[in-house]
Amino acid sequence: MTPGTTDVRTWLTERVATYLRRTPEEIDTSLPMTDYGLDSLTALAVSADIEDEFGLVLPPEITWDNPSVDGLSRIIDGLLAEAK
Amino acid sequence: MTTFVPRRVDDLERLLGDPADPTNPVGTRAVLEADERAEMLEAGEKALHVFGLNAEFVPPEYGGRLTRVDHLVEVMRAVHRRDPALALGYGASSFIAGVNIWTASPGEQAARVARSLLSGGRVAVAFHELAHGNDMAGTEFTAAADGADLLLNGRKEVVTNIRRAQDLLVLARTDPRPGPRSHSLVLVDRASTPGAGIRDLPRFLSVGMRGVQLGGLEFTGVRVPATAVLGPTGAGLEIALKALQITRTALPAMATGGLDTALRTAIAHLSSRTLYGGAAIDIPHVRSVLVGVFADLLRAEAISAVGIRALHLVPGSASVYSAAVKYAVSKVLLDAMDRLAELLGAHFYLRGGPTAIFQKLLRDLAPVGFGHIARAACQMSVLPQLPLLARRSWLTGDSAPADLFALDAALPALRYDRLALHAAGRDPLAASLAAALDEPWDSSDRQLRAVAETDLAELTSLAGACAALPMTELGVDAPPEAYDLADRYIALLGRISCLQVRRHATDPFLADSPWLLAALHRSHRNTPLAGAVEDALHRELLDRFHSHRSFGLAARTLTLREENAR
Repeated sequence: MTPGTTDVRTWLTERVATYLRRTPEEIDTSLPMTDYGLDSLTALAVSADIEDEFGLVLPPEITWDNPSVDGLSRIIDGLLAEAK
Repeated sequence: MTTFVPRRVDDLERLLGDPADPTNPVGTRAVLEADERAEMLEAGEKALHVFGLNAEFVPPEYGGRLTRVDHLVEVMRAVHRRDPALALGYGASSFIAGVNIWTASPGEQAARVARSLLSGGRVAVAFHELAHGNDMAGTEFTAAADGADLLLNGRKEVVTNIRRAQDLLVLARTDPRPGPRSHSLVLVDRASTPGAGIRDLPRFLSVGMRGVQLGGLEFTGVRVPATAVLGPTGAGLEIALKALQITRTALPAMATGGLDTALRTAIAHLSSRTLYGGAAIDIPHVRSVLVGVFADLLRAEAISAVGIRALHLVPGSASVYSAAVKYAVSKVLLDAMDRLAELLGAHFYLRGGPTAIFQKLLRDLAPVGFGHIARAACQMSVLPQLPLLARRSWLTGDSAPADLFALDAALPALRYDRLALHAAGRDPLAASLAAALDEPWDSSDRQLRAVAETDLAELTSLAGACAALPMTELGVDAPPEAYDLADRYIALLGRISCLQVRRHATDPFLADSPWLLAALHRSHRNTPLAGAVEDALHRELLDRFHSHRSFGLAARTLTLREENAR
């Protein structure tokens, strides 16, 4: 996976859609994921997936403070740029 | 003298005086009379005030003595040994409130609460609403913004000291939307808050802890300044979940003091009682049960000790260890009390006579299983963390620092800001098992090593089962089989804790094998101990009983009878 907002966001949208049993097209990436019924456990699963995929260590409250796919993607991009 | 017991515990014991003295206003007789009246023991509260117990709950930067959680716990064990209701009703609620405040915001609000506590004030933890139990996200009490103020509306129920506290720490909904950022902590100073919209609810009477003042308040349009919010608006659940890691570790650890007195009461009774032509205490089964309870008390304190040290040394993993301590220690204590009750027969049921304190302790200890947070809620909070812990730590992760297990080693300051909502799969305690087996072992420890190898095989099998679990299916509706995995994991953490405490011990009794072999045996079997193990522990148990020493890890000398003899 190469960093870059579009790629990270596409990847993340697909992960979230899989957890929510929806298609990626159905996810509005600007809305809080909780609006789609994403609970705290799925948020934990998503952040573990991000850590495994990108080799990052995320602050535990990251999905609480950045509840949308767009917000979370921006954070990941920032962390990936820092890690370069 | 070990360093995990602060010297000031002796001062406290002296203030509380001889429990057996019927004229002592803080003695067992007075404790029982206050319980019968469902009142707090007034002389006990005075003694704790003289001792300055509240300073134990205040961090040193605010002028208090809360430098080490193990020291706080040893002080509180002395109070529990006398009267659990005094420990909870005088101390615990201010402690819980304090931890939330220190976690939320270092600053002026924290300094003000610290000053109030240090002068003997109380803070009540107004989180609980009967309709929602431990489901904190369900909290309905609202704090709605209104200009520069907040308007408080709703009810808080079954809250210790809510009527007589100078400050209330309220968990309130500040955003109507669902989600983890919709609640905040609001510090309500009763003196500066108009009382008109606040209504006292009738006291809640309880089976045990009868003297504790459980009350409720109903707020209707009560106005407080917006600056009453602690920490950022919306951070309420995060702060509460982090602070809970400290409190749900410390509170069950303190409660071992009650079992200490229960065991002492049982031994005294059974020693003086003649049955079937001999002393009851010499009946082999009686002896076996008493030794088993002694081993359980040591086990409960060893598990607690590691959990407490983890708060200081590996706070990022405390979300897991604190739940495990609460879940495991409470069960050990409750089961041990039940077995003692069986030994005492009718005498566990009598409210008078020399064993009368036992029925009170049995009732007072029950809340260790559900009070503050329920065992089941702790089990649920561990569940979703299992897959990551298994994948990232159990067999390959970084092992814990030796200081996690060396009870006499210094502890770094508590870092409230290093507590985390989840452990992100970091489990240095479980990982320490494989690391320990890689080290050389003394040849006399062959038996222990075999036990440790069996445990590693169990951890390996558990890792296989947990790594594959889908995290998203480990919520409230998790399959019952998953709960068994959490139980197996928590049992292993307890066993590893005991093993590691023994490996790092300097005290001769704790560095020897019998207590550990007994603790490991009892962690999964209720059958009698091997003869030599039972004999060794029986000698130690009676020696401590006759020399008035505590039955826990510290084996400290209790109130000196001769000092108080009249």
